[in-house]
Amino acid sequence: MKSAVKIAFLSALFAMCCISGNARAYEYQGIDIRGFISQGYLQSTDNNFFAETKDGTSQFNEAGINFSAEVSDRLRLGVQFLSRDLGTIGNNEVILDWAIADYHFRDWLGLTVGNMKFVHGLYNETRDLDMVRTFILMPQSVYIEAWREAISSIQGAGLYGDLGLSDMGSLSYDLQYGTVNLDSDKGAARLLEDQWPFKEMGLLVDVDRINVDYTYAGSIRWITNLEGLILGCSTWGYQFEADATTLLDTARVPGELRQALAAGDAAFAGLIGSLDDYGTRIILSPSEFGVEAVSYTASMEFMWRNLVFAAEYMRTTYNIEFRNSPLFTTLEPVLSQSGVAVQDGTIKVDRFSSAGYYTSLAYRFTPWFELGTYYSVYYANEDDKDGKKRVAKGLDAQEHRGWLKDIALTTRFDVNENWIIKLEAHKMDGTAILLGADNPVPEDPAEDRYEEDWYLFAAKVTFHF
Amino acid sequence: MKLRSIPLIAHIVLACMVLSVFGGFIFPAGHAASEVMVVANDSVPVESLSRDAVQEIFLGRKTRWSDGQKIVLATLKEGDDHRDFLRMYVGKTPHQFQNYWKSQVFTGRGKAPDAFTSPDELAEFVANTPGAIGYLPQRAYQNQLKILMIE
Repeated sequence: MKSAVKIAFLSALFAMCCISGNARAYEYQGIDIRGFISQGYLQSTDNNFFAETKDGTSQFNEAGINFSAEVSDRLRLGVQFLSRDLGTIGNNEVILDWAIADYHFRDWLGLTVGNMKFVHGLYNETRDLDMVRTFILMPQSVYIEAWREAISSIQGAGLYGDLGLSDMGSLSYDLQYGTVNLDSDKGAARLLEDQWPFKEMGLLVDVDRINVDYTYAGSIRWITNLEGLILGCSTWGYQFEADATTLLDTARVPGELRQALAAGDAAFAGLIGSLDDYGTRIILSPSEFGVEAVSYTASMEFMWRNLVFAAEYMRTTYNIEFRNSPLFTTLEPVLSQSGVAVQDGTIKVDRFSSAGYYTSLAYRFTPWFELGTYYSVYYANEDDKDGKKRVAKGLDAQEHRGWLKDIALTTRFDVNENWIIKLEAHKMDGTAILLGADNPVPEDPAEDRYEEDWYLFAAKVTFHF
Repeated sequence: MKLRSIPLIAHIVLACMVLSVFGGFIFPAGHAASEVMVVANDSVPVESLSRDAVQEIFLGRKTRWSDGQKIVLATLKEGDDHRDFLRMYVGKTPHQFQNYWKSQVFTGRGKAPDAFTSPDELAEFVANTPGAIGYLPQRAYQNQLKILMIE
């Protein structure tokens, strides 16, 4: 069924590309049809960036097609299908990116219901649209790739509008409430698995299911009367539960944990299921995650002629708890020695906040060439910027997992109205957002799992109409 | 560094940048500003607009005239008149304006304005479409259009 949907999607997109033939939308009986296809290539040194980029990968693409129509003066309907791939994320499954019914009562009040794009920062709504920005990869401090699908669109209802402020410019606002479908095989699940604090002890998790209780998002943008200057702030919040298979990697269990498991043998007898496919991992009682996340972003964009300057700061606070009563009760003596408190079979992680910011500059020299650069800084825990605490707690073996500093340089070439080519280079310091799933533990214990200083190169070609 | 191809990629990027930067000097964008006037359909219930109002209208933030009639946008597809109008009244370059509307369309927030290849086509559309507003070089003005004063 999925392959049939994929074939239908690609066929429709290909047909529209052929029919439209230029940058204008194709229109059929009042329905506007637009689309895009992007194909990229990623190559990195030392670390894998969300795919097997050390070997070079072309598993990096996006394609979308949308249909929209104005049913009446005030009512608009639209739908967009999207397919994307980044390593193990997306895998070119065709998803409903957004599908909305929008009723515009007044300029200061509109209502949108359905599956709408998620407001966050200046550019989250357009992050799938390679053709409207300078850069290939968004600054990871504010637009983290692993969170992308989690804050891509929201199913529910939203209010929006524009308010005139006379001599002070105008104000645009968006309020959204609803839920999100999160797949267990995408970025958010992988990120969650990386948050599991017992990896270095040989205890691993594989997220099977995520159930989002609620999501909300809000954004205000002040279009100031200083020409080209926009100031904004936005917030979003999440609450969800996740079920995960718990695995014991018998090859990596340290001696003290091995002793604790042996001592707790009787209690453990009923927990140990079967050896998994690898033969070295034992399936234990299932674990549950409870996650609350609240994020705030402050934004600024200034356009002056062909120059665009942007800066954003984002802070996300997490409340995470892990539940696995039989396992944690058995391991309580070992965990308490490491300063981890178990209460009623639950471990609550101390509330922590990640934080990041970037500044970017882009200049269009000619109608066909644009040059852009940004500097982006991200800290996984703003109270542990040097990563020493996370190593001391055993969350990671390397301190540079605590930060990521990225200097990016991009060239964009608009070949014509439909075709865009981009080349981009990143000099990275730190490994904070990289996923363990993409960077497995090396077989040689003397070899480091991650390298602190590394480079990432990206190339992308986009066609749109 | 483990990757052999890095120097090659870095050289390609550098070469493209240098070529394009020189391209920027070789093909400068400057020219004398043309005289662009804002025009509307006869049904439009205003005689003048502020510059901010023009900007709000062409960015889709103001969608109705004072009598409740829907505002219908008409733009030129390209050219000096298009560029001058956007610079003077909207505060964007043609590329920025195009990107703005692509963002609106591809996120479900709006319908892109009708764009015309020639001022004559635009004039005809505005003249025959209730609520329409557009812009023209003075040479393309037609009698049935209402000229809006910009304050």
